[in-house]
Amino acid sequence: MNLLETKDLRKYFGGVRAVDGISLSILARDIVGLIGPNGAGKTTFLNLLAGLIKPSQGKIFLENEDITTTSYRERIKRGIVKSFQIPRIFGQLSCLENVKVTLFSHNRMCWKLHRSLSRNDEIHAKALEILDLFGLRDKADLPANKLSGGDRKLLDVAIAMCLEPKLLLLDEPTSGISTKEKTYVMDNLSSILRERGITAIIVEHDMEVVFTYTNKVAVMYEGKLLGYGKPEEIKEDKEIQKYIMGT
Amino acid sequence: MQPIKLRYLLIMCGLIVLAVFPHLIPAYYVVLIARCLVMGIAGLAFTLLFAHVGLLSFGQAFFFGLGGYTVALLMRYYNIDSLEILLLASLAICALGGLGIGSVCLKRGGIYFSLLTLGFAQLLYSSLFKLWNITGGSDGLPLRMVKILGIDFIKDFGMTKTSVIIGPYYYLVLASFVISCMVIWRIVNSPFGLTLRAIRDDGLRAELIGIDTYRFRLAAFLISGIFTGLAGALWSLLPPFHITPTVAYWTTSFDIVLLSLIGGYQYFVGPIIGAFVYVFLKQFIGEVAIYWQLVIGVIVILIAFTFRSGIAGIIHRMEALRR
Amino acid sequence: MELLPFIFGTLMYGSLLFTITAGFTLIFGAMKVINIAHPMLFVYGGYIAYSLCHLLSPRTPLFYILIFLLAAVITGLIAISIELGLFRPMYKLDPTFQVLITFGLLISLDDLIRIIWGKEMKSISEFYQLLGTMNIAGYSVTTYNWVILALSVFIACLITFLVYKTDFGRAFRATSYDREMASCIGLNVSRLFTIVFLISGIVAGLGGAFLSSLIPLYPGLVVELVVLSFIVTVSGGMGSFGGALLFSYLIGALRTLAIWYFPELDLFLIFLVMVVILALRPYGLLGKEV
Repeated sequence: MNLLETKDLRKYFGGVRAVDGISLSILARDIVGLIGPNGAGKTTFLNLLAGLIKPSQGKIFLENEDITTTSYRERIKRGIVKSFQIPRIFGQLSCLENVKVTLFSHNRMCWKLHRSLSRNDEIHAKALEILDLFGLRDKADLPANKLSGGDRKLLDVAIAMCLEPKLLLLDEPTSGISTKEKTYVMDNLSSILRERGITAIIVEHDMEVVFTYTNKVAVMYEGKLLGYGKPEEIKEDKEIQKYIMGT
Repeated sequence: MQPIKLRYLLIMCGLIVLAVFPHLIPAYYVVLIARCLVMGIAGLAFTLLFAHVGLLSFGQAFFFGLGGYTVALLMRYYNIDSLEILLLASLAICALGGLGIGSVCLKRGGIYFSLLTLGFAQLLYSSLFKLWNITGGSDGLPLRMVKILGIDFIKDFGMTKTSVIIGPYYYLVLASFVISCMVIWRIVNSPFGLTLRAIRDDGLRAELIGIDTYRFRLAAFLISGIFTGLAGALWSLLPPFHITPTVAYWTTSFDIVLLSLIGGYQYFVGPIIGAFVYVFLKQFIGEVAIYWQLVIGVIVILIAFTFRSGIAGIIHRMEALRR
Repeated sequence: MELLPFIFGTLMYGSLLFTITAGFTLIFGAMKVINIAHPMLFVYGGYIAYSLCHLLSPRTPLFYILIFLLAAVITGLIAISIELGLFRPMYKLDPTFQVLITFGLLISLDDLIRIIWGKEMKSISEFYQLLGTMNIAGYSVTTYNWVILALSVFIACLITFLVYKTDFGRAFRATSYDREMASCIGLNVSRLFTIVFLISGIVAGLGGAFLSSLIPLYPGLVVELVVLSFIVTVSGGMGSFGGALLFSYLIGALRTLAIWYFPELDLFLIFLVMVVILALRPYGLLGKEV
């Protein structure tokens, strides 16, 4: 079943054609690697899907429903969640609190004034569970701004995960972290995605990561979609090689 | 002993002391303590906005003045002297006022908020002046003793004004203070409080996890305004039983900012400690040195540069060293 | 009301407002430096001019103008000492604390006024009277008001020239867009800031000196000016000089009308207009989305 479909999606910033007519179909449970040189429009494409910017033209369908005009908040409710290139976290809150507040928000509990933040909360337990998934349990009480780069990325994704996404949009989840941490992050991430049946689009520059962890690859170049298919197919495609090699 | 138990013990002792000593010390000091408690409420309200939402309000005088004048005007023109009604009315007016100016002040954060709140406070101040035929202008309005729970202590019990102030009224102030502490403590330590802190840390990210940051900030602003209004109302009913537009002047806003800074805004007890220090300081130094503003200004600058965690912070650090 | 008095009223009040708030718009709006104490320089300019006048007892308009210039220079020097003494160490702090510090400075200086000059209202009324009135198209207008108009035009032109036509101005604008980049390309940002402070101090001092004949000076005035300057800056659009000008004259026009019909409105009116403008154009009249 098509989870996500875009039809001739375009975004122009003045004269710049950031996204220039992308038509893409993504099946449920696919883990799609989105690659292409810098400036190809990958982040813009994700932002369009997340509802952070409005398209100049084209349509977006989620499970065959037209969501082109919905707001980002609507999309979060429908299960489209995005994480950030530069991780955005709540610096002075502890890791646990970062996750907790997201869970509160997701479960519409933010307005609860009378309930204390006591340790017996089910949210508390769930939060610890999520931190566990990402290997951050031992850093639960650490203020988020004291985390290392890799852990910050993980926390950012953990926050996104709390919103129970159907489609997770990850913007360079492994950039800026060491190779060892990359494996650690991606191993964790991909098993979580597979376990929960979450579809994902992952913008990546590291080809190793793309070809190891994804089952589909989409190639963008100057706003257009150059190719979309299985990683092996894309690897062999001579045309795409011409554009991508040397980036 | 676990630290938590010790803290409860201290609070208990503090409350007992506050409850008992009015019988042991001169009336003058009881009034002073009552003032400390009232300013403590105002300080907590300010700190809720500042520490937990990251909003620095220079216009708390708006609510303080609104609270006080609601009481004075109702007393004067509608002859209402039932305390309950007066307090409720003040809170209601402050809530309305907060809704009105909140929608403008909260459009953007940071310094816009600070200066817009200041602006509205000044607006209220100059209105209180201009409408002198209603508000008495710079002469202000007098206030009478109120009926608590419908009881007129002077008529029915033959008490003097003073003994009512250091008796029933004092306990009312104390009760208000304790209730305010409990409510604000609960708010701060609830999912709502955590949400506010998340908004403080990264408003955009909060939006992106589905939080309507504007509504939360407005709610916090209203809560802060209501408690400040309560403080203003209670203040007006203390000696010298007279209210002037000064309660809405920016110096009042600044006093509140200052006492929260002195006490340490990062700690719950900070503004409470600050209120006590501030009221006593103002009473004894203010009588000697007329240039109180200069003193405040310099203290604020010093604190901003050095003692950012205030007195509570110093205590905290000493505690940590001892362990 | 009739056209000519309306135009006069608009020009007078608009120029007044603009002269007061121009410097603030520049520093706060364009440089994004949180200096709430700027209107204080204005007030000090007025007080210093007042004291100088008492000291030197000027008789002719020229003498007055020279005194005002002197007051302006002194104010500029005060501005620099504040910048070097207090602001330098402040730049690396959190913006919230910068606000607190600037405010602390503001109220300390305000009390200083009380200590030095006392709390009674002061003004330099002699110059005002000296210039008398003029007859324009049958209306008797105080000459001094035209001086203010000329002054505000002068200040507007001066600042526009400085900011848009000089090398200094270019450096200034570069810094206001991106401070880090500016220092990377070799601009001495610290020195730039100091110069801006000096200039703004002089201009504010000059404005204050001239305006002390129209507005009485008193301790506490500065907070009113801070609020006013802020409103003009925000309503005009942060950093938009033209916007501040536009807003000033808009208020001038409205106030002239209002005084005719509803004399009591004043600050209320300005607030109301600001709220309406921000509701319709959240970035101010001529502001741009950052």
